[in-house]
Amino acid sequence: MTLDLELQSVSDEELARQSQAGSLAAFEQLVARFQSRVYAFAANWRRNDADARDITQDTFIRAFQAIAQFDSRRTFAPWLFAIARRKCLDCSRHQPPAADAPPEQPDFDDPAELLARQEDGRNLWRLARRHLPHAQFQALWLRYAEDMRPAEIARALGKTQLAVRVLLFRARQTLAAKLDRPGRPAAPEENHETFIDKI
Amino acid sequence: MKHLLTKFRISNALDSGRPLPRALQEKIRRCPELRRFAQDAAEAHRALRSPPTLPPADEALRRSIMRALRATAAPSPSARPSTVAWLAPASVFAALALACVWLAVRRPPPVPVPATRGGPQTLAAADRMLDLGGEMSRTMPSAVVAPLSNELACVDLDLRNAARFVLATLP
Repeated sequence: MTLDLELQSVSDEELARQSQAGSLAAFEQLVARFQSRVYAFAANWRRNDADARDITQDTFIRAFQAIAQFDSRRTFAPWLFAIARRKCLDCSRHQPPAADAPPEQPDFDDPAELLARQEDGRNLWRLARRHLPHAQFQALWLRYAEDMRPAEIARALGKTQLAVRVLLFRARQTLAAKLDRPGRPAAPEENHETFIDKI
Repeated sequence: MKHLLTKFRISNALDSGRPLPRALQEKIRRCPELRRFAQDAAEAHRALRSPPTLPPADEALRRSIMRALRATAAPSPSARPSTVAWLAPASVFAALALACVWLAVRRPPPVPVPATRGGPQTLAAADRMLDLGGEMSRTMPSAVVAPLSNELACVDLDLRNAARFVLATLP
């Protein structure tokens, strides 16, 4: 089925408004935009392809059924990810983690050097997935992979903004500790302006 | 635990995009631990900002989702669940209000409670108790009372004790 070309330039919120008015084509455009993102979110939680596909499908079905409840003055993504998160929780409640989950990637000998080499951050994500608790990883994922602000993450995770900031802080603290191997010298004083200025 | 709050502020600054206050920057410059944390957090921030590789859109999954969506009923703009959600608590509230009104109308007049301890009403109650004990043994036929005499004696004793207690409470 070819997606409507006109709908491709429409914002998520406008598509949601059209879906509220009963347009299935608009909702299909939303599915096309968010399918991979919801799948990635679910796959990070369940680490199992079949579960992630089921969660993705259930999320969109639930979103379609509940689209009238979406407040179109707000952003669509946090609302959708809030549904996805609930579906992930339901799935975890009903099924223990799958035994045939793909094996974890081996830990890195030297994460700091690896990070320096890898510009795309993929390995840092792997490190985060391995070492962070669910809630911290989700907050980090929504912050960076979905480019959400703490207020939007709070809506998606059903937490307060302060709780989200604490989750992000703890996640960064853990990652910093993993990157900070023993014996590594602190940043030289003459160079620290560079990274402080980046903050 | 050391410098926890400062580290939290560094982390917050990464999310807000606002520069750190001068004093805080000075503090970071002076402390190697804070400097290292700020450096690692900034490195991680930069690395994580590059979008992770998402799986390619799975056409089969999309078709499966759309098939399931068509199978479910289309959302009806007229039957907004928000209206239904509003109606449910409103009807419960109305039912509760009606129940309260009904109870208020049906409630019998309250039994007058003696306002003070002791007084003529307490004396009358004690008197009635004593009379009741004596009357029971007098008025009941002996055939009925005979097998229950012990129990009646106990009841009579209890009533006397109760009367004594009530009288003792008198000022």
